[in-house]
This record gives sequence, C-alpha cells and structure tokens, in this order.
Amino acid sequence: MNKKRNRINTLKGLLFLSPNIIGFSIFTLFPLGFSLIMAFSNWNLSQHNMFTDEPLKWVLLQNFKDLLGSENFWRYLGNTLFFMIGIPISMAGSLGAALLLNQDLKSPSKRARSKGILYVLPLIAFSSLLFLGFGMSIMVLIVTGIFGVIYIGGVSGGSTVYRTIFYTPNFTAGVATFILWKKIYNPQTGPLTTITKPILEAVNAVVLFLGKDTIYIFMYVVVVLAIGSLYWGLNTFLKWRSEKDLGYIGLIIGVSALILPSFFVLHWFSHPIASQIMQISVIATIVYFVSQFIAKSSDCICHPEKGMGNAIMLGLGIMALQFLLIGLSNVLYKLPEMSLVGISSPSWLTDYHWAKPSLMFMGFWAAIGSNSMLLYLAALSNVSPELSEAADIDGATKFQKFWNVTWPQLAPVTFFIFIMAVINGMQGGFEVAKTMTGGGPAGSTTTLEYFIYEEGFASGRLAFASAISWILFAMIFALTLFNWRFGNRYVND
Amino acid sequence: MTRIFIICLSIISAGTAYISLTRSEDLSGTPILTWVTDPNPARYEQIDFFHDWLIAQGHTDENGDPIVRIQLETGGVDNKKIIHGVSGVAGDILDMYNEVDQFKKLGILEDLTEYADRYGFGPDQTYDAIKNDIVIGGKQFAFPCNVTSHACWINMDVMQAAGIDQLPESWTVEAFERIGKKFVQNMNSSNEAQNYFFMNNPGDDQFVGWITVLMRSKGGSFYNETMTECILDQGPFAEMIDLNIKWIEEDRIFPNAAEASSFSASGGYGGAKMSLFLEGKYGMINLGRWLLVRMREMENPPKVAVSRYPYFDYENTTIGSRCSSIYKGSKHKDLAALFLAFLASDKYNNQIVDCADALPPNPNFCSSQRFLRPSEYPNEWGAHGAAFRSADEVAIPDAKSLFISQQILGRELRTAFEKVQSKLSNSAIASLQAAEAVNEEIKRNVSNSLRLEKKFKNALALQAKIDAFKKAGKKIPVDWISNPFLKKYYRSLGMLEETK
Repeated sequence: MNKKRNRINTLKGLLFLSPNIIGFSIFTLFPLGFSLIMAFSNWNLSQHNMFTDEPLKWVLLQNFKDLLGSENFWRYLGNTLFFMIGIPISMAGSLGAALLLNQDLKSPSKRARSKGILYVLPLIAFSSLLFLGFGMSIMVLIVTGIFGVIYIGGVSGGSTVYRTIFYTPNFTAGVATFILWKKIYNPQTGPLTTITKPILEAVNAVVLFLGKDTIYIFMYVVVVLAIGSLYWGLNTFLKWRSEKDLGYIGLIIGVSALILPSFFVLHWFSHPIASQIMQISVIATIVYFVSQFIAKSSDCICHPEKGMGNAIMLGLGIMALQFLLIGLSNVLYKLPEMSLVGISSPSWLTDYHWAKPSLMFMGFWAAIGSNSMLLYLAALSNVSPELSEAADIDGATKFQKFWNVTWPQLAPVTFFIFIMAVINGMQGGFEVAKTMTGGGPAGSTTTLEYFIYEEGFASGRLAFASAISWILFAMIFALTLFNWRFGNRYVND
Repeated sequence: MTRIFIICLSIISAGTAYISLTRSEDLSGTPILTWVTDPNPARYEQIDFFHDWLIAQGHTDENGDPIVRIQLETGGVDNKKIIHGVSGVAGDILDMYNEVDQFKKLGILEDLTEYADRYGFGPDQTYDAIKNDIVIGGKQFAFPCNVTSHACWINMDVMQAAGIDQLPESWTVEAFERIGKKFVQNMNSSNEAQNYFFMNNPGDDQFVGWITVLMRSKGGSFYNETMTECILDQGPFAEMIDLNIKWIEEDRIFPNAAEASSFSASGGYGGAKMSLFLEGKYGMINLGRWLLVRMREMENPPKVAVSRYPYFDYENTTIGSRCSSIYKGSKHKDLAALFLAFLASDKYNNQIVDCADALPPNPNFCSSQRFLRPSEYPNEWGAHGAAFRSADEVAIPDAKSLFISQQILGRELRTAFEKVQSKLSNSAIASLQAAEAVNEEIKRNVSNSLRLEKKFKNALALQAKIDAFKKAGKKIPVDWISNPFLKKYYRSLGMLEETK
C-alpha cells in the first residue's frame, strides 16, 4: 500500500516538475548538447540551414585550433580579464558599503532627526548658491540636491534608506543604466567632465608650477611603491610560510598573482628608465624571495592547501594595487607633456585607451551595491557579538577587531562572492559593449561574450561561436572545480 | 495542490486555445502578410495605398475587400531577420538594404522571376545600376521599394550664414576641403569650443559608403576583378584613412566621434546626426533623399541643396536600394507577389515621389515636376534634381563578393580606421591587416563549402587570365569582370573588350 502511495506521490511530483523539466530539456539541455556537437562541424548559417543543401562537414578540432590560433581570441580574452581586474576593488567596495550599512544610522530621537534636517537644508541651499555664484552648470546643482536629499533621507530613515539606495543599480534595467552612464561620460556636457574639469585645471596649474623633474620624482616614488607592494606581499607570504600557515599551492597561486603585473610592465610602461628600474627591481625581488623560500623550505612543511584563501585574497589585492600604481606612474610620466597643451578630460568611451577603464569604473558602481553587498550584510549580521565583546575587553583597536574577528568570519562569503564574480566576469560584457561602445574603438571593449555574438550572429559561423562558448565553459568549469576543491578548505582556515 | 495544478493547466490551455482561435486572420478569413521593414512612418500610408491598389486592380474577395492584408514588423534588424529566416519563422515579405546577395546566399529568398514576368515588376522597371543587386545568376530575387544614392545634403541656410552662397553640384576633394575649412572658420570664430562642422563624422553608419566613393575616385577597389581577393592593401584605402583623420583632427571640418556623441541631440528616424543637421550644427550630411521625411515634420525646414560626394580623378557615388523579397518559407507567396507588383505601380512610385522616402524604384518618375519641384516644399527645389542626377549619372553599385559577407568587410574597414585613429597602427599596416583578415575569412568560407570551392576555383582561373591580359596590356573581355566598379572604371580607361 505504502509502495503504491509512494509511486503515486513520485508521479505527482514529476507531473508538477514536468513543465520545468520539459522547458529545461528543450530550451537549455538540448541546445547545450547540440552546440557541443556542432562545435566540431563547419556549421555556418549562410551555408547550412533548412533552405540550403550544402552538406555539413565534420572538422573535428579545427574550430578549436583556429580559435586558439586566432589573435582576436587572445585579445578579447585579455579584454575580459582586464575587466576582471576590478573584482577585488568591487569586492572591497561592497564590503565597505556593507560595513557602513551595518551601522545603525538612525538618530536616537525625533528631535535629533529634525535637528539634522534643519542643519542639512540650509547647507544644501548654501552650497547651491555658492555653486551658482561660481557659474557652475545645472548638473552640479542637481548632484548637490540629490546628495542633500539622500542625506536627509538617511537622517530621517536610517540605514534602510541607504541600503535601498545602494541596491538600486541592481534592480534597474541594465540597458537603461548604460544609457545613463553614456550621458555621464559625455565628453563635453557630461557631469563627469564637468566635475573633473576644474580638478584637471588645478592639476594642470600644479604640474606647470612644479615642473617636469619634480613630477618625475613623484613618478619614481610611485614606481618604488609598486615595487614595495610586491616586496611586502612576498615578505608576508614568506612570514606565513615560516609560521607554517601557508602551503605550497596557496604560495604558488598567491605569488603568481603578485608577479603578474610585472609581466605587463614591459608592455605598459612608457618611461624607459622607470621601466628598467621596475624590471630590475622586480627580478631582484623575486630572485631574493625564491632563494629565501628554497632556503627555508624544509622548515615550512605544512598541508599544501593551508592558507590558500588568504594567499589568493592578498595576492589579488596587491595585484590590483600594482596595476593601479603602474597606471598612475604612466599618467605621471605623461603629465608634463599633457600640461603644455592643457590637461582635459579624455573622450571616455571613444578613446581606445580610456574606453576599457571607463566601462570598468561603471562596473564598480554597479558591483558595489550589488548582491555582493547584500551577502556581506547578511554575513555581518551573523558575526558573533560575543567575539567582538571579547576583543573589546582585550583592548583591540577597531582595525584589529575587523581583521581578527570580523574578516575571518566573512571568509566563506568572500570566497563565494569572489568565485561568482569571476564566473560572471568571464561571461559578461555583451550588454554593456553593445549599448555603449559597439565593442570598439578598434575592439578595445570586445569581450569573449561579445565575440561569441559577433561570430554567431553577425558572421553566421555558429560552429565557431559554439567552439568559443565551450572554451569559455571549460575555463569557467575549471574555476568552479577550483571552488569545489578548495572553497571549503579556505572557509575552514 | 493537485487541484491547483490542474486548474492552472486548464486556464493556460484554454487561454492558448482562445488566442489561436481568435487570431484576426482566422476570424476574417483574409490572409495577413507580415512585412518586415524599418520604422519609417511612411510605411503605414504605403500599406493603405496597397490595400486601395488591390481594390482598384480587382484583387478583392466576394465582399469587395482586398484579398490580402499587410501587417508591419518594424523591429527587423538584420541579424534578427537572418535568424528568423533560417529558422523558418520570418515574415512573408522581407526588406533588405543592399543585402539581397547575402539573403540569397542563405537560401531564404524565393525566386521571383516567374512572378515578375506575370505581374510586371521585372528589372526593366528600375535603374540599370540596381539590376546587379536584384538579379543574381540570371534569376530575380527582389524588387526595390526605393533607391538611395548617397550625396551631400546641404543646409543652405547655415551655409549662407557662413558666407557660402552656393556650392557646386560636383566638386573635387580639393574644393571640398577648401570650402569646408572656410565654413568651420567662419562659423566657429567666436566660439571657444567648436560647435559647427562642415559635415557629420565620416566614421558613422555611412562610413563604408563614404570611403568607397573616395577610394574609387582614385581607382581603388576593395576587391580584385573577380572578387576572389581583398586588395585593400594595394589600393588607396590607407591614403583615404589618413585623409579623413586629417579632416577630423587637423582641419576640423568633421567632428570626432566624441564630439559627435556629445551634442545633445534627440534620436528619432534618421538618428541624432540628422537632428544635428536640421539644427544647423552640421553644414551638410551624407545621406539619401529619405532625410526629407523627417525634415518635412519641421515647422520651418531649412533650404536644402545637394552636392555629389567629392572626388579625386574619377567621379562616382554609391547606389543601393531597400529591396523587398518574398520569404521562401512564406505560406502566401502568390499574394506576397502582389505586393511586389504594387511596388512597380504608378501609385506606389508617386507615393515615394510625394513622401520623399528616397528615390522611387522607377527612374522615369524622377523627371516630373511633381518630383523636381514639389509645390508644398519650395525649400527643396534645388535638391531633388541633383539627387537624381547623382544616382543616374555617376552611381556604381557596391562590389559584393560571393565569398564573404559585406558585414565582415565593413567591420574590418571600420577596425582599420579606428586603429589608425587610436594611434595603434599606421594606415599602411592597418590596411594590410584588414586585407589579410578579409582574405582569411574568404579562405575559410571557401574551404567550408563545396559549392563555393568550385566557384572560387573557376574565378581564380579567370583572375589568372585577367592578370595575364593586364600584364600584356591587352584588352580584357568585359564578361570576365564581376566587380561592378572595376568594370565601369576599366571601361572609362578603354581597357575592356566589349561583348559583341
């Protein structure tokens, strides 16, 4: 009787699930399998469709061979990875936002809130008048007004208002926000240009005042900082290793992330002497630490995967910092020359060199208030208050409390967010490129996802597009495997 | 829960049945054809005219109503049309912009030769230059809805404000540059930032046409005679890239891409650049006659004139058409053929003349006063005749290789231009890379198709003969050359042996 009932229940369950199973099978599973098979063929829309009689040829691995030998593929993979450099920064932003929004900002009493509003209103009015006096554009006034309204909202509504505002980008349609950003990036009338114009004018005056040599000194300082950050990172790894807190897998991954920017130095550095200093220093630093690691290797035996999560996070964080510093040093190198003709805002989206960073910057805005922030908020609410109180009793500073109590407890979420961000980053870039830049200028914003679209639907080479998709899948799958394999260990660290 | 499930299922099933049973076609019994076209407001009027024409021609049912009705699908961008087409779900009538060959290659177009004979919309009803587009391999696959030959459309009010009273109908590159410099100098003298430009940015959607004409005027072509090889690296393409960048960056007669995008302009039919032209920010714009559709919506439209594209040695311009064809998967091909017959009718041609939606398919309608001097629009009187003469006298259709999509060629041309503009490469290297990319694509396409491979081999053999004749200084038989530009250009140089 029970068996019969179970069978009926199973059938009922399957019946309920059947719409989803059928839909998934037809619209996801079948195309997925089909595209895998077609990736080994020469399927081209213009030659093989229901109205043509051209026979389909099996080309085995030819598409994959062509793809891996294609300059464009590596270029667009490079673009995709470039956009992903921003992931650590976005994550830091999300965490920062979550930490801020985790505070109870609501004023204790109605009176205090009214007071706050009374302070803010005249402040906004005064700022508006001040800006008007400066002949500022209406855009500046609007921005001032919006900030004022947000501030008042925060004073009266507490962190709930800010949480909602921060999360807004996430539930706004992508294309609409991209068009909004296109306006923001307008090189003549956009608010970004309006805001940066007086700043750049001031920078121009300062550069002219200081002169080329002084600016170059700053450039060398930045180069030293970049080398210093590499040194500090390697030193930290060495310390962890000698304390038996870092296994060799984490060490390899962390060090790889740390030295990655050095490979780009040759390609990116404009100043010949600074470039040579950077290269020599990087090589010397690496040689020094490799010898140290080898010398102390017998004393540092621990589990190969130990401390891997920390190594990855530190490595990626310093990598992003090094990229920023290398970029900044290049800017400093160019500044004296630029100041002679007057430093002005770039053509954000139509300049080959600025289009990618501009889209990346826009990505920060979207990412900071995204699901990552919500996940961090949820994780923060689970941080045990007893531990914080214990740390308080021990006299820990705020930073020590964060680093030793909060941060370790956020590890599972951090690792999850990181893996998801990498996966989304690998798959992303189509909407934004299609709407804002058309993949240009000269392919500088074309990502792998956009490449798939172009090959599949503009060129009609669906087999080739399938091959790109499956290569992309393989990369993402490798990352997911990595997550499965090491995610728990990192969390347990 | 089971009940809820069954109720939901019943509601969905009933809804589906209701929708399928109450479709307008099923209710009235009149077939409805879907016309996949652009969102030009004139399309609605054209549909009404078609229905009237059907009644006038006696194509009616027992109630005296038209035997077929048309509904519009205006979101039909090219990729969507292609995907729908190869999947068997495209509209009955497909509009194409100089892409009949591409759609024909997909195999989704119906052979219209027999219909054209029956209903009288053969290639003799349109421009000679368009025949190349609609007749492929001796079979007709489309008929033009309208014909566009790009030219420089000039806002004479702005020109006069710049102290330029008249512009020549035909001009050299040197004259174009000289007048352009004068325009921007006179119009921007009191402005800190340059707000007025002689013409729109050439790197926009008309880029390929613009660069084609300039190249051809120096004897350059994208392809060789048999269109088996891209020869961008051998022709004056690199020179034209440099010239256009000079016009943008040094002479400032065109805005750069950032400036073009930074003007606050509304979009609408014809895009933002047309708004800027109508506002007077651009002295001229490189477009077709269809820009008048939007201009006529203005309260005080400017006075317009037309000049041909500038040239070096060999004057020419592009000519293309928005063609309609019948989808091979349509269930109502006979009825759809009536629509193409309507496109060749006096009523339709006159409607195109009146609404200024480019040039009418039949050139005979361009000599009437109705076309040349529309009574309601005296501000356009200086433009219509010149626009037609440009199409009639110097236009040459695009060279379209059987072995590669024009879209890919366009993409490579644009990439080459952007590379030079972004200082990533010089024009010679960028041209070479573009030619290599296109030739690589040709090779790939040919190796993937037995049919193409055979044709390619034959064409290569012919090309070898042409090269030998050229080397020997002998006249080349005209039938050997499939590149329409080189055919006309060689003829002008006396290099061809005409078929007797």
